[in-house]
Amino acid sequence: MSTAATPAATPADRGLDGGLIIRQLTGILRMELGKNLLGRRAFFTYFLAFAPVPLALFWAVWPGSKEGLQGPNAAAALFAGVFPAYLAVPLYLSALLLFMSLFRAEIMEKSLHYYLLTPIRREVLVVGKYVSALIAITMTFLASTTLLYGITLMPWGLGEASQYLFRDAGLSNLVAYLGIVALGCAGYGAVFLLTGLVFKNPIIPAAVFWGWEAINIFLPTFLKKISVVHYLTSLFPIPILEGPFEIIADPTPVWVAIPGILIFTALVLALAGWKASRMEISYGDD
Amino acid sequence: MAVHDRRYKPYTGETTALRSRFLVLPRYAFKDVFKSRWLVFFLGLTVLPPLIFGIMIYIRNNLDALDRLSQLGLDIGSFYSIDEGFFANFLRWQYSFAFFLTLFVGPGLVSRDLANNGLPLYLSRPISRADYVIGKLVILLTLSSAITWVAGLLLFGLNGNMTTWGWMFENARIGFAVFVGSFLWISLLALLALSLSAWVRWKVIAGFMLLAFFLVGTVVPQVINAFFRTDWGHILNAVQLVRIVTAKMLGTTPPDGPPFFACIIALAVMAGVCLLLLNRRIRAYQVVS
Repeated sequence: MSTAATPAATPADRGLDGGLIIRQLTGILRMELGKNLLGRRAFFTYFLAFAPVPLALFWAVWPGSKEGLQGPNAAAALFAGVFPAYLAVPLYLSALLLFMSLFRAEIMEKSLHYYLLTPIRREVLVVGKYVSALIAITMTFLASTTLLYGITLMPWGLGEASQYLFRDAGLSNLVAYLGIVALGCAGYGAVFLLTGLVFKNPIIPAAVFWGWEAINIFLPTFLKKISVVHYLTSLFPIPILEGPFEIIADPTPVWVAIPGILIFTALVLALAGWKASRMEISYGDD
Repeated sequence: MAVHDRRYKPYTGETTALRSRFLVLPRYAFKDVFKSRWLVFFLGLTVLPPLIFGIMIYIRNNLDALDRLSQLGLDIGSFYSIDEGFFANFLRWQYSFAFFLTLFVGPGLVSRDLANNGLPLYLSRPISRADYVIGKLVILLTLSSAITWVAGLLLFGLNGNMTTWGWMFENARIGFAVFVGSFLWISLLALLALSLSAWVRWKVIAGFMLLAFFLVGTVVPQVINAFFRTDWGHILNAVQLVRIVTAKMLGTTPPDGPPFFACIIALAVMAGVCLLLLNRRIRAYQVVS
């Protein structure tokens, strides 16, 4: 009696195996988190995130720091004025370096093919790398933002500062800022991950994108909405006026802004996954 | 020919003059640079502002055109005049384009030579370290000059031609400011791009550093000024320093910041640091790993 050999089921035949995907994601996260938290690129993230801390500390111990400021409320307003700059430069640049490097650095180091030769769906690889970088950058910036917020309240001493934090709007403001930081990391991260996949030199599109975000305040309302910064500024607990030439638009409601950024992030990630699934590496080109 | 006849024979062909030897580098680099279609497209874009400003000069000086526009209800005379402010606006556009151009071309100029251990190959030829740096600077300066001071002086000449030559003499200060301001900006950009390119071996990371230098330089002073209620924070902002110097030379109201001479000193220090960095990195030997 002869039996025909049954061919082994291919991954495509098996369809999506949730358990397998989670195991693969865990494996990618384990490897990537080490790089993103302890590697060379992590140093730049820490540097950019904590660079304003010495400046803020200097201000806090400076005898004239309380001059013209009536209590922690006024200091919080000062923090609110500086926070957009913190989003626009340290967070933006850190996200650019970290997320752009996820694929581009591996291409330059000629090590991406090790990943691509493993039996992992490219989309899973994209999500794994994205989540690892997101965890690293979000943790860093949540810590640095909390520290900066704390330092801004420092000149008023523990008593007044804790009263502002726990009896006034201090703590809810801080939570709002932390939420904005996390959403900013997610939104910018997705954009730069895609940029790193599409462009050989992602710096030019990143500079153009920064320019677009910077001129957002001067754009008409319908164009404002095609940006990350518009949704982030809509969530600011203390609204700020950017200047005499700002075109003021109604802030997007919280229930639109938060899902808006998350949906935008998911769409960009889907696009990155699609791009990665068609990617062929030619190390010689870089 | 017998083998023993193949002795050393010195080169007897034509040699490049010592003074113009550095031009060999740009000659080859330009061929490389113009291979990029994106760059050619970008250079096309940089022509648009001079074209628009040129049309504005033409309309302002053309009575027929002014007449026709006023019949349509457009009183151009009240919209703009060809003065210091006009050229300041023009420079603002072109300075941005020069920055993007440097960001495009600059980071790869030295980093590629260093990454491929190619520096000894250059410097083993009769090219000095200074020639190498000047040759690389010429690439950036030529491209940026074309879109900044050359275009600006062409507009200046166009207006002089369409009004009276006397206008040019009366407003020679504008022409001077366009040239010096632009040259300061593009020289600083070129030096920064080259020094970062020499220190960071990856083109992308060198580009990132250049972008970071200007973004950090724009925002940190704002933070310092807000916290310490001063204008001196701008001393770290190269963009603001060049704007102040250009505005002072043009005679327009300068933006907030330190006084003119402090700006000049700060720019000189920045350029000096770049030269020091280049001097440290451009060596005739490399430790090949």
